[in-house]
Amino acid sequence: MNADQEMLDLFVQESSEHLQTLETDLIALESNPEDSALLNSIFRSVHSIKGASGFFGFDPIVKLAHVMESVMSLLRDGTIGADPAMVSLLISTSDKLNLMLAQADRAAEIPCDDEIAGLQAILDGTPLQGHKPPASVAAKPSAPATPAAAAPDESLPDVGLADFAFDPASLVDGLKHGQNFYIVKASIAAEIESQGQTLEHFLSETASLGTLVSTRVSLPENAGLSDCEGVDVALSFFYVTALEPFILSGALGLSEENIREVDSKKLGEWVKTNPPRTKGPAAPAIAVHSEPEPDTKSLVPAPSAPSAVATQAPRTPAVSGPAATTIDPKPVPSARRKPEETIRINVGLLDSLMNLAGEMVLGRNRLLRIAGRSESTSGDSEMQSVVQEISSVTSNLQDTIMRARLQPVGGLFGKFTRIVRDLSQKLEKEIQLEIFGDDVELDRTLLEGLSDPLTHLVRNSVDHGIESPANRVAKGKKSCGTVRLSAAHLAGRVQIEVLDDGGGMDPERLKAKAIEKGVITTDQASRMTDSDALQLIFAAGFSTAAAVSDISGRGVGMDVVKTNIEKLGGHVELDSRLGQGTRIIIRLPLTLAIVPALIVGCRGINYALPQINVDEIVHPGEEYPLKTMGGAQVLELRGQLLPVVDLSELLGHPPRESAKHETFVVVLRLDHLTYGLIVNEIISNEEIVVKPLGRHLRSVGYYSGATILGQGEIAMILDPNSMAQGKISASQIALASSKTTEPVVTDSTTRRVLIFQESEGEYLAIHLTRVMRVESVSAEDIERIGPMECLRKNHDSTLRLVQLSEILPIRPPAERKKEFFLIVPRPPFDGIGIIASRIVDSVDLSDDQIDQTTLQTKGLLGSAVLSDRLSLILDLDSQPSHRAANRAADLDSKPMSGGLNPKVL
Amino acid sequence: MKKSHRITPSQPVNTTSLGASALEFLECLQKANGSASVEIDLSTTEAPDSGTVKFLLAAANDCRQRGISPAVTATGKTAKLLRLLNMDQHLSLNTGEVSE
Repeated sequence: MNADQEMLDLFVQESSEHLQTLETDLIALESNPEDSALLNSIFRSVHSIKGASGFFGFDPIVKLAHVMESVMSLLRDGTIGADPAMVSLLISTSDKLNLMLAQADRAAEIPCDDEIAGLQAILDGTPLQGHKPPASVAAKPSAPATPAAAAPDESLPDVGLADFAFDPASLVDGLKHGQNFYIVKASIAAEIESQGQTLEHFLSETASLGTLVSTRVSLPENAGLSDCEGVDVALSFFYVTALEPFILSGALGLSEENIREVDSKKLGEWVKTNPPRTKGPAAPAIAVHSEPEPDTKSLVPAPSAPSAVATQAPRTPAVSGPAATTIDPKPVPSARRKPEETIRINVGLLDSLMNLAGEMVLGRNRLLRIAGRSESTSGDSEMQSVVQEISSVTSNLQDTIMRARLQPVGGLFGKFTRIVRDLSQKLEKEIQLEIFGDDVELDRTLLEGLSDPLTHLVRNSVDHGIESPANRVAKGKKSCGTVRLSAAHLAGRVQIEVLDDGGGMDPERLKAKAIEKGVITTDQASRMTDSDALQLIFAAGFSTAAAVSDISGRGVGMDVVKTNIEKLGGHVELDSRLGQGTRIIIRLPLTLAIVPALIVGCRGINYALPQINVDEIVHPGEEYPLKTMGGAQVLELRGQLLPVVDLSELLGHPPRESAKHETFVVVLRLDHLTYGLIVNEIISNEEIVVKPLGRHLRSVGYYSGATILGQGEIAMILDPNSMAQGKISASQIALASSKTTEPVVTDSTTRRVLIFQESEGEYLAIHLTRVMRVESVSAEDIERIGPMECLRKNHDSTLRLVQLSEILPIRPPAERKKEFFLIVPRPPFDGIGIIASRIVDSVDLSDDQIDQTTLQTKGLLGSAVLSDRLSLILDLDSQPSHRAANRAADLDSKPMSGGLNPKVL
Repeated sequence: MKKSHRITPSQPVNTTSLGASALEFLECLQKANGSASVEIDLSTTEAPDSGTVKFLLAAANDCRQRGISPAVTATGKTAKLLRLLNMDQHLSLNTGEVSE
């Protein structure tokens, strides 16, 4: 790529960012037409686009941006006021700029005459659909004139210099060396101190980069001590430096708008005609204020003069009028970034770095394994020390690169302001979009994958969820509906939520529609709970919309949403209350690059299964028999028949000569189905680095990627969804929904529980359906952060250890063992690990067996006699300390939060 | 002959204390009516900020309205800042340093 192309790419990229900001700001301007911060931001965006386009000679873009910039200038100065028609025209202009920038070399082909004519009409003061005429026509309310504007000095090379007193001699050196001359203006509190910098430091830094020819501070006219609190001090200075404007802007941490270049050629000519004064009382000097020279060094200007202080005592009659500088009542805080703090990196390069870090992790894993072996044989402590150091550095390196790939969801959320605005106008609804947590970061791959599903959800909320204003009022609601889009970190995952306060979904109507479309039978509908009925919207082709619109209603949305989210390793939850609204929760991992996996063996080959899908592992036998029913294999598991797939058959391994081999069934849970996968070996739990499959392997089903295990061998990552598709017949699914004819347990509320101990005293039990995994850990691996104990899993996953004796009324252990177990619950509680000194057993437990009266305390469902011992049954949902550190806690109070709001310990 | 009046704020003058300092100064200014000049003693203000600058600008304006000439005593960082802003060109600035 040549330099020109690189520059052009950079231009397109930067302009796109400006356009994104522009669009968001314009939409916000609609509801806050006088917000000076917004007006300034919009002006800056247009100005930047115009400037960069001019550099590349894209004249049509420059022409359109110029006229838009002129209008923005009038708006910003308060000369005209924005009205809805004007904002719409500006948004339309922004769209045209977007189109032009997308194909900058063919920008002339994009028709924009209407926009230019409309904007020109505003500039000419011709009323445009009710917008206010410019100030030349309308009375300007309260824009104070600047000193220069009030009485410009024609002799000065720049009217802005009238604000300063300086000796022409001070410019000679800069002119000789071809330096640049600037007038810099900033509000001290809003633009300098708000960035965490003291005024003194700012001035010292500025002085170190050039020469402060003249400095001036001022308050709005006549501000005294009784009314100065609400105003800001305006700082302006006349400055000479070798730096170019954009570098100066970065160095000072001010926007380019704060900096105006003075024409050095004109300045040079002016200095020639106003020769530097020589020492002596008659020497000329440039002064700015009309107040007479004080007869003492104290400041005693005329009573009518403003509270402003210029740099040098005026020695000659002033050249201008009142010297008050207008300050913006709401100055825009500029991003205070030094140029060296951020650089642009090609995404491909970042991906390569990530891949290399992944390779390094795999190499590190092998090294650790080899070192572990050599330790047991040679006991080389120096070698062990080096290996540990490499391991630590590798983890940190991987962490850092991972973080570099994370991007705030705000970029994605931003586009919905426009979508909601346009849709609500089209549908004639009043909708307010609220955005929370836009600074939450996600891996860029996930962000890209999330865009379409989220668009579907927001459009659905606007189209189907929020009622028309009349309907809302009739229901006693505010005419303006709310769609809330939020993001939060929760238990090592990111939770995205789309909430609306619209009409909600009617489970009965969903059932009726599903029966009509043949998705379910009447019998199935009669057995469905309301919650199950809501899940019907995820069925392919399902839509209850009375009419198909271009917005939604074709029934291809929600199943695609679900599929796409699952592809990203996440899952979708739905809650809806008729008349109150709908809440859709998406839970996503922070990254897809590293996932916890169960390594299984089949015919001597190792495969990885994502832990998120693994429910439990069963050793088939008398207790859990494998049966063949109707030609299909099923596993009888605690009274239920699970469809089973044999991995060996699925992958086409030839049948074994010896029929005798060990078998395990890994129970895999998908959103719509739970099934068993027959494997020969359970190898280990590992956090694997996911590698994409090469092109030649992508057409092969059942695999979602590959990885390299600690031993160095390659393992394919199995995709539980693909394995289920087509391999599990409808009859198997039907069997799964029925109970065995010889029920092991007849009670439908019977569930398996895991019995464990924290100390020698009490026995505790947790429902296995709530357990994601049990892992053995060493006390040495535990890290402490304040009072918390944590186990680091990878860059984005840390388990917080929970000692139940600190929460529940049970005895604490005398001392913790060197090796113990962690019971990791399923999401949304997967950010914690419950400490267990001993895993005792797993048994079936009927809800009827639980005594809920004898031991009543938060965190416990009750007690039961299990394996002849009194055991306490945990209730994760009611743990007393769940609410801690939950960023979504502010949503708790909302009526929709009900049982859906996840909590962490 | 009119006298000079010295006003010493009871706390460092900055953004945090601006409101209280302003009230205090205005009260003192009432007492200084008839004085030719007022000397604002900022020697206890060690960490100046925009509040300090604002105070001086507004105080200068209030003095001007009363025909009183303001002067400032400042040391350390405050004196340095006033010089950087060239305020010492207009306010009579006493830094307490021995002139060379």
